[in-house]
Amino acid sequence: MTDILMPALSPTMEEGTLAKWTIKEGDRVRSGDVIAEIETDKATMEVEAVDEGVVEALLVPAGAEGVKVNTPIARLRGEGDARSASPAAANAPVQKAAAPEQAAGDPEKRAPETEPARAEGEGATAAALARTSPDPEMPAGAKTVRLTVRDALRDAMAEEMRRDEAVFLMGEEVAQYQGAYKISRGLLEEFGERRVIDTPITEYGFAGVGVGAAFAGLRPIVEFMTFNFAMQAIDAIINSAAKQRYMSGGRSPVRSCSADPTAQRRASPPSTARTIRPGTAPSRG
Amino acid sequence: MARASKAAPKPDPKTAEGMTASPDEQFAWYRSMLLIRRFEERAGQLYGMGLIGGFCHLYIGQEAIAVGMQSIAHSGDQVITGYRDHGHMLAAGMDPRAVMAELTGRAPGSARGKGGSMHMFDVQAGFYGGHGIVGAQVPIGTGLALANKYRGKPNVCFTYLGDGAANQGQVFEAMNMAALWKLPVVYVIENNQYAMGTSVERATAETHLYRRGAAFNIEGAEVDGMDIEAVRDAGARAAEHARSGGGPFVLEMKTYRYRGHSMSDPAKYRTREEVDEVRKTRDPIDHFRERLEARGLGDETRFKDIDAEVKKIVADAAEFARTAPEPDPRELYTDVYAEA
Ligand SMILES: Cc1ncc(C[n+]2csc(CCOP(=O)(O)OP(=O)(O)O)c2C)c(N)n1
Ligand SMILES: [Mg+2]
Repeated sequence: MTDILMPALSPTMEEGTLAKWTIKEGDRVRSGDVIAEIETDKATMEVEAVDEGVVEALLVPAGAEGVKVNTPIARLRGEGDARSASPAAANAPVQKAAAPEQAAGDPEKRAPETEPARAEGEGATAAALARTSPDPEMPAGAKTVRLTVRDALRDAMAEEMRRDEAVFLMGEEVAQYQGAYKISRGLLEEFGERRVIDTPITEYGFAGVGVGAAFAGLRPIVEFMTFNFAMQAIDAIINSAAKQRYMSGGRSPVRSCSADPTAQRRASPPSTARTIRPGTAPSRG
Repeated sequence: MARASKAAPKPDPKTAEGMTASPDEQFAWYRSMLLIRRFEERAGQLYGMGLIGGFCHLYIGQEAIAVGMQSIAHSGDQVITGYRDHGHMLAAGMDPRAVMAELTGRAPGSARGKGGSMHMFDVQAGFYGGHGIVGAQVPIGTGLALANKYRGKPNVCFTYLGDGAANQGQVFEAMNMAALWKLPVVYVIENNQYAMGTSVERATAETHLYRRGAAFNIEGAEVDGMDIEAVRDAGARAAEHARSGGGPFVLEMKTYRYRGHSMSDPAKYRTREEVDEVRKTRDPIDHFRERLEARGLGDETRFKDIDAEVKKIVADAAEFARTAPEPDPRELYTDVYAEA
């Protein structure tokens, strides 16, 4: 017998909803077959079988919420395994679907509804953000809204784009994919393809293109998926953009900004997870 | 199926190097592809269990390329690729235990738990990484080829890149130098149709990637990357061209990745039907098995034995990777500075 365990969809996922089974007891599965759909509040993913065999029992009913990562969700009978003695035994361990109040849990521990889908490379969680202390210089009584850095970045871009038609966004996966880190979620829908532009993977090239557009008076926001990748474009950022205002005696102010949603992440290597903050927004002038 | 930007060499099973392979060799390729498939499935599972941190990009669907190319490589040839690298490492003969333990970040991992999925190196096996920056391996592979020429060694560097990476500026810069200096490098573009969520059509104005080097007069060929023998045939020709002083060659391997870009990609930019269609009609392992059977080579027990052996190797590697100790925290300070 082989137990199939509830998989984590990301390194930070602890539990999820077993939205749907695409197999039933008695089915034969091969590795690679889709067996279930699993949901978190951020994404839905298909689960594929790794082992081969006949489905002996589904241990968690479809729709079950709050299923903890690594709990057995189904049992497979491999070639060498004997058929289970009593059908009751196979059905016994079925878990009850988590009660809604249990799934909702402690609101402090849950991510706010506004947190968009978790993409590759998750950074600080909303829960972690909620723990940070308020800015000491906040005037007493000021109203605050709790939101993630990711949403704050998105809202800031959207505000600028509504205010000024010369502002546009370009970068890898910013439009159709809604941002590799979901920073630009919803922007394509609101602003359309003319102003939210997917680029090929060619940082040096599109950073330079952005600088050129800024020479012509547009105000591009050039997104680098992470700051590590902006290193490919450092020449355009420093030599072409940052120095231009000074070198032209103020005749050619470059109004552009680069965005790089990098955050530290567990077990990420130096080449793709480093935060180098200063100087990422050259000549906002 | 090979098509070139200049001459179009058609695969001829009789003339190409090593094409008269023995049944044992053919089974060795089958085994090698199956090992990668099972290894990757297990890696995906370990990721799901929270045992693999950071990124993890699986090679499932593309196995015929790494195995086919490795099968025509000469001793001393080099391999370098991007972050979708587990298949190349296993094909190059690296120890599955060391690779899996690196995925789980453990002390006996190939890079002592410090490199992870995307950064492993094994100079003995001729494997030079494992690179996380899209396209960065291309000039480096070209530099390895320069070293071969500089030292008068008869070796080729197989430099792998994705369809997305093929748009990076440094790829063109490297290709120009390779052609200018006639460096022994074969650029293997693994065109799996997508770069993250962006299809080839949405990322490049010239979708025939075998023409990538055309501006520098580099010959190229389009190859069915799901057919290990087509890969071998084209690979042998390209390597021969580079080895004999003809300079670089571009191979565009038409392939497909079955899984999402990385483990956290739900792959909503394509349909399940599209994936299923490829699995059903073009799977490199199933296909090759059918061919072996049609040649009357495969008796059922031989396939079963290979299956069992591969499963055992992978289970052992997974167990090793799960139970091996984590690196000592002091490892954070090793290999930062070198002795002068
Ligand atoms: C310079 C740089 N830009 C962006 C990324 C993020 N990124 C990682 S993989 C990838 C897609 C690459 O696709 P492709 O070259 O087709 O290879 P595949 O993943 O299909 O094997 C992107 C955009 C990166 N790692 N490095
Ligand atoms: Mg690709």
